[in-house]
Amino acid sequence: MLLFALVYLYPVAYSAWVSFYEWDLAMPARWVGVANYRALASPEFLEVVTNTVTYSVGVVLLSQTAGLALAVLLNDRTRMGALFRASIFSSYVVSWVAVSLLWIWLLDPQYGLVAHLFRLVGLPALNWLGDHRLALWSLVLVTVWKTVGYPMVIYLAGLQAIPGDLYEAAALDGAGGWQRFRHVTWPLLTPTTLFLLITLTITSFQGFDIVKIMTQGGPVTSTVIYVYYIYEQAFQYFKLGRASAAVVLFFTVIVALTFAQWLVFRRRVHYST
Amino acid sequence: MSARGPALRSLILAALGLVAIVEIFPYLWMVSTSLQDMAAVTRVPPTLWPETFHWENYAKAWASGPFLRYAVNNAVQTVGIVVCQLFFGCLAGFAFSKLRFPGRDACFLVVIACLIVPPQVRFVPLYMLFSKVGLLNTYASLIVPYAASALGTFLIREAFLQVPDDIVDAARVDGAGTFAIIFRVLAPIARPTLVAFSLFSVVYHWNDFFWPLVMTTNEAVRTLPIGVAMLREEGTGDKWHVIMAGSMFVVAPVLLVFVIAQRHIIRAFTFTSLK
Amino acid sequence: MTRAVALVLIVGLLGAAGPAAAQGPIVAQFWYSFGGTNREVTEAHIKRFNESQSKYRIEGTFQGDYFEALAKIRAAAATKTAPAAFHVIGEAVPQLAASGLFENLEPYAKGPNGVNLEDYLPGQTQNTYFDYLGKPPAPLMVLPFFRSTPILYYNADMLAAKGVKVPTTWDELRDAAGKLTVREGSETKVYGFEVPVDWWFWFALLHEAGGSLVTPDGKRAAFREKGTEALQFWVDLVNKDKTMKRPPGKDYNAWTVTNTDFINGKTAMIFTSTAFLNYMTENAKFKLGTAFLPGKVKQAVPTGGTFFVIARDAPTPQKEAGWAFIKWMTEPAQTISLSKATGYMPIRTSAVDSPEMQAFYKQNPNYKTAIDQLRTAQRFPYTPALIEIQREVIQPNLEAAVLGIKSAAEVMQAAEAKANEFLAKQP
Repeated sequence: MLLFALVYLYPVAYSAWVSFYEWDLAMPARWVGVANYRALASPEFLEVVTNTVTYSVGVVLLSQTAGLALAVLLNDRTRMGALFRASIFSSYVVSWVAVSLLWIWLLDPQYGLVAHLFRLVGLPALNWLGDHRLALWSLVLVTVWKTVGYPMVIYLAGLQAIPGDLYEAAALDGAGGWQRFRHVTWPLLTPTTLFLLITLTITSFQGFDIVKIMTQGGPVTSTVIYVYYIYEQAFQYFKLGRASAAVVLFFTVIVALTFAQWLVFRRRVHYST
Repeated sequence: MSARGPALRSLILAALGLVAIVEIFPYLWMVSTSLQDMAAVTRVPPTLWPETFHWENYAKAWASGPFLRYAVNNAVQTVGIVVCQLFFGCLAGFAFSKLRFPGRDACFLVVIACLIVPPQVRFVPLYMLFSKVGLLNTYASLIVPYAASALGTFLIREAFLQVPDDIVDAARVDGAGTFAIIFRVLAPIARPTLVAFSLFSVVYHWNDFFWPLVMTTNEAVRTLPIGVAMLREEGTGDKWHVIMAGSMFVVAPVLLVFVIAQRHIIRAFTFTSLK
Repeated sequence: MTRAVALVLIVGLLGAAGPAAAQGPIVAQFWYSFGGTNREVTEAHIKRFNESQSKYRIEGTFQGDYFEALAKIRAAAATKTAPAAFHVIGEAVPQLAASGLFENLEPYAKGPNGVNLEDYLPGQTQNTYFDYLGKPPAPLMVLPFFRSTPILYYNADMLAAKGVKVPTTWDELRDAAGKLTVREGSETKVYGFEVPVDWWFWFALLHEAGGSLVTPDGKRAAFREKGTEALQFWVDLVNKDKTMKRPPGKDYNAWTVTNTDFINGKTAMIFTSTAFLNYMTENAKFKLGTAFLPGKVKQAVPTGGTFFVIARDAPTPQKEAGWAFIKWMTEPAQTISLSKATGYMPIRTSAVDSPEMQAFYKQNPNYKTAIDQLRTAQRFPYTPALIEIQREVIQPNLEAAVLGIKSAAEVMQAAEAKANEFLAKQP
């Protein structure tokens, strides 16, 4: 508990304090009151927020669904299944630097493999990373590709925890594959789904490396997401005050949201008793 | 999974095969590149399989810096962090789920909010703090800031909440102390969560580049990802073959651990559902 | 609980307890922010320096990329633990100097172990890199380290095959790019021209069009009209002619793509730093040509790269060590070996004139281009707002115009307003 205070609260409180100053880490800090916050209420910050939300929603929905599908399809004890699973997980453990060049090459509109394939089927080659309308979604796709191994593994474990007799019982009742999934698998996976939903959402908010390595926030500002924005402000523009203000803002929003959620649940608890 | 028409089955197999290839292709490409030479690396379209295997790339990468020390540091750092996270996570999770004390929920709200504080922001004040107490460039500066994990605490609390209070009461009646309750009773029940979280944390911290970089100013406790980063150039055309060889040193251990632990991970989940 | 905490503390303290400070040479840190070849070359030179004398010992450490390193330096400066020596980009010097980060090097330069500042090539020393805007020159704070200018690289085979002359003006460049672009249906197999959409090159174009960044007194921005012209040139090449490829990514990532595309024959001409000449020469499978950047009203180039600096807050003996090191690094012998190993320019006139380099240039005429081009080098205004203008005003907005999201005129107008804001804040 004490440790928490130290490693979390201290930096956060420090950030809160810094957010009221204009500071570049070298000169003595200048008090600017809420100017940093007002500066945040800009269209560029709004874009950061929308980008982050889009990115998170995209990544969480896609990777969780894909992870579930893969887990269901690979839920067996065959060697083949294990091979498939290992190969899917391999991309999760590889570091971003290692694969960034590969992806930049793959997505190059001039000679990339993806462009090549698109042209083969008559589709126009898209400028995945260079088009400001596409870039964020390209990052979503690459992130899903890289991280789908994790929900797959977790769902797999959850699936294998479901006792086989339930399936047999359902089959005896005449339930087909899809119905078995809907009525047996899915409900029993709810805790796993919830766990993944929370974990994936939280980690997607912390997305940073992919942006830093693949697009550096570009084209223009279309792929600047929350943490990258903070990094830019703090490290490239040396506006630590503004970076801290962004942190504090999110901090407050999350606290407010959680508080609201807690209030709602409290009432529900009372209801059930 | 049983009654599926053969056509559907082969379709599914094909799709799975495609996915598997897409997923593992970059990894294979990494391996392939690590064995090429500069000429092969700069060719476009990229060489998919090298004609001659240049194993010396690995030697070059290893020798480019104190890689052995980096590897040891990386292991110490990752294990240290995850162990602490599990330890403190269980303690805090227990406190937030089973204990009652004033301001408990308020504290927990703060914990939740800490979930989104990124390392880029924490770095500056923590760097200065560790610098002042002379703990920069030590394992402490790498492990301590991550020793208490908000995510871990959150997830473990959730898991502990699922456990009915009677079990805890029963254990207490049996004379178990708090530590015993946490680690002998609750933790085993929450094993799937602990395992799932550890998996995530291990991969994250093993590959972490930013924190070990900014909290260290010399080689003493630096880790492998930094070693690999030092192989990169700016625009001059990186020596990808050496960089990939270096990256393999980072990737291989984790992959190995995963392959070995796969069954354990799954067993951890299965075991606990026998309630 | 306490046991665990104690354990952690013990481990931490054990880690912190290093070997007792050795008697002997004064040890000082040199922080650098590059990897790969540059790192190897630098470390080799550090080793040579340490072996060449026994009074000082320099330890070089990699600190991440440029921004990470700078953040750490500032954080270290705040706790008075800054390294004795490090390096910074030119544009950042005025602001960092105003923050009090740098040691005044005049006493060192004029002292017993001093340097002859006259012997340096134009654009390399502080006084030839900056335009002091009518104010008294700032005291010496920097010495040149790895320095470069942008040059035009071209695929001589491609130009010969199409009978295209090496362009020397914007119009010729446009023309040549058109002739050199190869299209196959909807696919562009070869682009005539490619350049990172980056401040550095825009700065060149701005001056080539006859413009300047700020007014002579440095109080207001002066780049709108000519800056728009410069930007419009790119916009037309990319969107109208479609003969220029805009590399994806920002900062050095775009530069990497540009270089790789050129090496792989995907583009016929590029602008990029002379620092990559070694890489190009070694890896190009075609005849490589270099030339001055094409001009409009005149020919003009910025200089780039980094400068050595000494931290003001470092302890005095370490600062001495730092000075000895950076002075040694800029001596003709070292600048020759550094240059040959990396492709960066030798920074001293005596080095360029030396028989060794003259012979080298005869063998490798491409290397002379950057040196000769220095006579068109432009100065940067000495104002703390310079780095802000680069990173916050110009750099982020160039893309918007090239992508067609905003017009070049719009972008430059907004940029001018913002730049004036920053400039107004200066005393």
